[in-house]
Amino acid sequence: MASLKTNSHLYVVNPEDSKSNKSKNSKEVGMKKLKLGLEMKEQRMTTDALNEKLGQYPIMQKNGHRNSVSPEDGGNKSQKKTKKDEREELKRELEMDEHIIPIEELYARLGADPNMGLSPEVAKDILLRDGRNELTPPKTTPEFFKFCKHMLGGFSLLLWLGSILCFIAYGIQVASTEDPPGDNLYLGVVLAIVVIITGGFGYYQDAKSSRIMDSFKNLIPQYALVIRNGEKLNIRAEELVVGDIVEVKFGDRIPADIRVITAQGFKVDNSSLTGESEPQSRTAELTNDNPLETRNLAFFSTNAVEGTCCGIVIRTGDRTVIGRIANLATGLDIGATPIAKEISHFIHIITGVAVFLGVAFFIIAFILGYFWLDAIIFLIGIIVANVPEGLLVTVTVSLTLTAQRMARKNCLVKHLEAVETLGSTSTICTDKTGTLTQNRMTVAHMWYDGKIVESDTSEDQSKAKHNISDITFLALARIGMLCNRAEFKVGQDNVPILNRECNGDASESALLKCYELCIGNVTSYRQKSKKVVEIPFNSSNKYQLSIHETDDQTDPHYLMVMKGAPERILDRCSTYLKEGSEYEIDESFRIAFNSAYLALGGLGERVLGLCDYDLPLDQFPLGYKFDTDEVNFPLTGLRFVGLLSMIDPPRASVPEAVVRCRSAGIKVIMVTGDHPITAKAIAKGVGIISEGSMTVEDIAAERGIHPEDVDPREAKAAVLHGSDLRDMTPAQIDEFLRTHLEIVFARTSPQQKLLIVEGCQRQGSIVAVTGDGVNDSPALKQADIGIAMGISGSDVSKQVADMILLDDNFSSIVTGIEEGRLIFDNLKKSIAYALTANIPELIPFLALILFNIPLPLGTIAMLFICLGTDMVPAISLAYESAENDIMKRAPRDPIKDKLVNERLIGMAYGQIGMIETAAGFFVYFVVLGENGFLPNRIFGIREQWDSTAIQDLQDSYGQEWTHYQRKKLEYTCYTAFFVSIVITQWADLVVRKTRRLSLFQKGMKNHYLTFALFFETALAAFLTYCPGMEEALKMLYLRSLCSTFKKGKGRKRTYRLG
Amino acid sequence: MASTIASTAVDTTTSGPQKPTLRSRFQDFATFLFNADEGTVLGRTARSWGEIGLFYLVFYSCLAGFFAAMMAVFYQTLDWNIPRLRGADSLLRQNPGLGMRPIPDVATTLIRFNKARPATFAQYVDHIQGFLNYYENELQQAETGTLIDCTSILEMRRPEEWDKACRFDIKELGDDCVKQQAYGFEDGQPCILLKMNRIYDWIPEAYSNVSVPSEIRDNWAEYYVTVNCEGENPADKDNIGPLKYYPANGFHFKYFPYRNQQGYRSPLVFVRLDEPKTGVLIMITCKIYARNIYHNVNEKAGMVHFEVMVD
Repeated sequence: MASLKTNSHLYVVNPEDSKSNKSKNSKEVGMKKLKLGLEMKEQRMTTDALNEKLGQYPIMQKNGHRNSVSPEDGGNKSQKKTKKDEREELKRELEMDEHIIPIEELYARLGADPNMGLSPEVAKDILLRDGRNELTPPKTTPEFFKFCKHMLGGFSLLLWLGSILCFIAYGIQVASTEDPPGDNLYLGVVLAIVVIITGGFGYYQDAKSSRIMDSFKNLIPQYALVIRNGEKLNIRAEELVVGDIVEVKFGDRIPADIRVITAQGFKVDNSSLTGESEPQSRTAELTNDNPLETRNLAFFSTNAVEGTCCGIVIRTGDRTVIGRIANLATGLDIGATPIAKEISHFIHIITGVAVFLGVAFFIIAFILGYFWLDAIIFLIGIIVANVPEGLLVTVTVSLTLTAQRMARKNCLVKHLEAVETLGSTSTICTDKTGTLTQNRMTVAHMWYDGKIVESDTSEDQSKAKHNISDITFLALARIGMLCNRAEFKVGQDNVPILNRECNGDASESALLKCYELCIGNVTSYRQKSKKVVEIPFNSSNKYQLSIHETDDQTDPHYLMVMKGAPERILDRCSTYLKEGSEYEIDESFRIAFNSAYLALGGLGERVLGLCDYDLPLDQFPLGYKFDTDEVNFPLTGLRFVGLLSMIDPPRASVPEAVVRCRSAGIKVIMVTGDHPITAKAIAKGVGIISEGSMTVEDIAAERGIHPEDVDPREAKAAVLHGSDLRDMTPAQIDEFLRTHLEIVFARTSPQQKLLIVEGCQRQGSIVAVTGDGVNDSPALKQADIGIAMGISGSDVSKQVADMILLDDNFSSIVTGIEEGRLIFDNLKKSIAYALTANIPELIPFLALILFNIPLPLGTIAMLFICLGTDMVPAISLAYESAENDIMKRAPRDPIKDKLVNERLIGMAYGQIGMIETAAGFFVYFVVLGENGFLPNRIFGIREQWDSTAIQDLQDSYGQEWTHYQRKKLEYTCYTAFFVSIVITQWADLVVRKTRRLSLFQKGMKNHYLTFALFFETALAAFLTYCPGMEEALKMLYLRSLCSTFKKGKGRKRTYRLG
Repeated sequence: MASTIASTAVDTTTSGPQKPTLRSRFQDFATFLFNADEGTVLGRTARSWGEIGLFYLVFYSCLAGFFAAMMAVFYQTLDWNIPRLRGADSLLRQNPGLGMRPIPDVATTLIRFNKARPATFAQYVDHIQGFLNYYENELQQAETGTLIDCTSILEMRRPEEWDKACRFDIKELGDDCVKQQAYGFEDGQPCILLKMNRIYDWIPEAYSNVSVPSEIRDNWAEYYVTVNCEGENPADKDNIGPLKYYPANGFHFKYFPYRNQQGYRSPLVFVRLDEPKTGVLIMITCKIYARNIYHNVNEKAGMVHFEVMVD
């Protein structure tokens, strides 16, 4: 991919001749400066297509961008650049004008009628033109291709190659000799079977994960209330078209991108789009040119939380904002996973060794005077002997075991390879809401009686302690309980209070839960204090008020309670409550108030002021008619009670997890759509910005200088606002990422999240990204490992992710990382173990060529080592526990720290492999020698040995052997060699248990490994002594030690193994 | 203006990992082979190669030394004259096979010749001759210590004498199959030499008159391992014609047991195909019979198989 990176501006001709261009002022709009996020891709698309993609309406010119250029200025140059990549298109910040133009113009453009709606016929036509209002699901790979990928990927390819070579060799033998040995045929078949079974297994594993994935899918169809021909119809959301008038009420999902026509207290939860956790209110007024910021747009797939609204559909399906983002994700191409790279590196090494040996012995065979066809058979034989047949199975099974273990720890891995990727992770870009935090507003602090009282924010709030007898506290609680529209949903009596679901907005629910916890029975208290009237919160007065009857029968009067923005509340108060008495608000109180307000605000908390007022009975007798429109009761001179501050508190386990990440050398970056202050507060709370770290702004504030004068390198931490990020070049981003260790990105858009991920990857990091919203899906896809949230995550994010966090908890990632690192270490051990046996399998063949000795180890016995006795021990190494704290080590350097390096090969092949070979040859010589063929006799004997014509081959003692008898002897050698490899592999297994520690420090606590030792031995014994193995497997039993003793005749003997 | 910004951006920025071109890969490999800057060959400097070479030299020397020591220990346990595994322990299973000559080419047991053209059978004659040279009396005389003359012994030898072996007189092979007649090849009556495989301490057991199998009843004699050859298939049986054995009864028991005696010569039998049908391939199986010899076609136990084709 040509990576043409730029953050400069591109000029795209807005084609006047475009069919869909209905703009009246297209001449002026003609030249459109588009802000480019990042790369330009090779793929081009025509201007027409581009316009199609952008939506069928012309792009509105906006002046908000820097460096505006007049049409004439860039005209000619930009002509050449009209063909831009489709993806680039999607990466651009959203451009639209439907929210800016007057609503009448919009009606005219869309041919809509706010009262009558579209006619069904027109709607049908538009539906045909635009397609259904649904997101095109990401292209799913056909099952067959997935299967093929497992069959042909990486390692399998090597085995297929080996298999094919075997068949070729067998073919040559069939063509050239009358009675060809079947070894090559068997080997070829076995290799093919191994690949097919392992591939099938891997496919099955992945299919199993994707079945779990499918179960997440929300299959409930969405309906929308639409006005067609003046009638309100409930139709399926997919059938909506542009220009439809829809009505949305709280609890609904917004069925398409709509522009609000009228709204009543309408609030939407945009968190899946922008990451903002607080509900946003939506009205008909245009508040911002930026479509994502303006109040008069509600976006597809976000949720209506409160109120109702009537709106006009302006975009549907893939052209919606969400649709564009989802499409951006599908366009991203992802590189190979780290483990795939490792395995291909490993295959390079193995193939290098195999081809080197093969060619070397091909030449040697020629020099020794072998017929060329034999030399080719040798060449193939050597190459195939180098293929570690069992390794594919070992790796697959090890990864599967780890994946299962991770699934038990709430990390569901979608692709086996992702298991290891997580272990190599060196940077985590994490979301805030829901991942680091509990995703529920909780009362964190209260300020009353001149002091800040902390409230417990842990998940179970077991430590919630308040002095209930405190009068001010009770007054505060009364306001909190009464001036509160949130209610528990019914039927949750047995659910712990904190887990109950509420109707109402997050902060009111927080208050409700807080007081339900420390006082209880909020509902009955409310029933006793009947609400008379209320003024709901709105953005202009910024307070909420209600008037209640008191529950005190002895003193019946009306109580007014109010809560809202602290400064506004204070303005309405003349007295304040302190320790049971009322005082006049004075300057010292204001100072105390301000410092408390700032302190709480500085913690990133949302602060509410609470006040009340006992309406005097004489002025407001019982039954008084309160009027909220023309307010006939006092709104000033109230009694200030206290402040409440709320935050979405961090999960309890997160700070520890962040510390572990840090000690593991993993950089944790927070990327959130939230405000910088909140983001920073949470970052500090969980340790992403560690204690004592300062941002540029902190340093500037401390020194009393301008932030620009501070050398950024002095600041360890940084909080970057999305709008600043937008103006940075890739080089600047790189610099920024390099300079600061503790980074928080606030107010970021989905496109920027992608930018951040790419920036980290440019640093050479292996990046894990968490995300739940649709807006995160491009970043999830771009990341080396995308982690979606199992509970709160959207379907799209789950589909593009490599891993799913079933409990949405950041600390589960850390557990996953630990498992990933462990499996990397253990895979090294497994591979080293499995590779070792390659040498004692290969050298007999080389010795046969060089010295013309009878074959010491047959092909089938060789396969039984690779795929039989070695298999369980190699897999058992996957259960090894970590040697030292793997989370105290820096992440592996993907360039230097390889899964298989020359050193591992050197040790496996050059050292332990050679020792095993020596052991094997020793027993070979012993078996032959005891039967009469002393070593000096067997060199150069092979031609006669293998000849069926010679039935009387003499051994060292003059005895004569028929061909059949010789072969039996040869098979005994195979068995002896096999058993000697098995026994030396015992030791090898124990050696591989540890890489750094001594065995005495590590101990033999891995019972799977102990079992493997016994299993391996039992299998070897079975293969050696089971009747019938001789014919089937060319394994002849070894004389048992006992029989030797019985006939020992008192003479000292050396015993063969077994 | 804008394009300049764009183009400079192109130059100054790179994105993630780039796919290496073939050329750069080749260059990387060349650098790996020899890196002039760092003076490395195959990724190692001369010193590094020296060190690792030394390590492996020492390592393999130790391994070889240990291996040699173990072999030496093994050798210490061996007797140079008696194989370690004998009798039931030995894979020979106390069941001798049968060898045949000539086999000038180890790849085939086919004997094909044209009696009119000596060149076609010279190799067979030479091979038999070469084998029989070893039986020349002069050679056998030299080993008087362990070889004894057994012409007078007609039965089994006494166990006390088993440490000495009987001399096998080449004259026992008769007058028909001799070098002068090119072992019958020139007459189209090829003589095939049969030889029982030596097995340490193996002694044949004689059939009784009752137990002797029917197929050898005709030329069976006590104290002989009887030889019987026949065509393998019915057609071969027709084509093979009459056979003659020299000595007529087979291998005498006095030549057993084989105990790796100095100068031991295996007893031999010539089988002559008197009138083999010409121009066809005749498949022949020769079996040896004694009470403790069992036959198995697949194992070639107690038998030998060969083909004769007289053109």
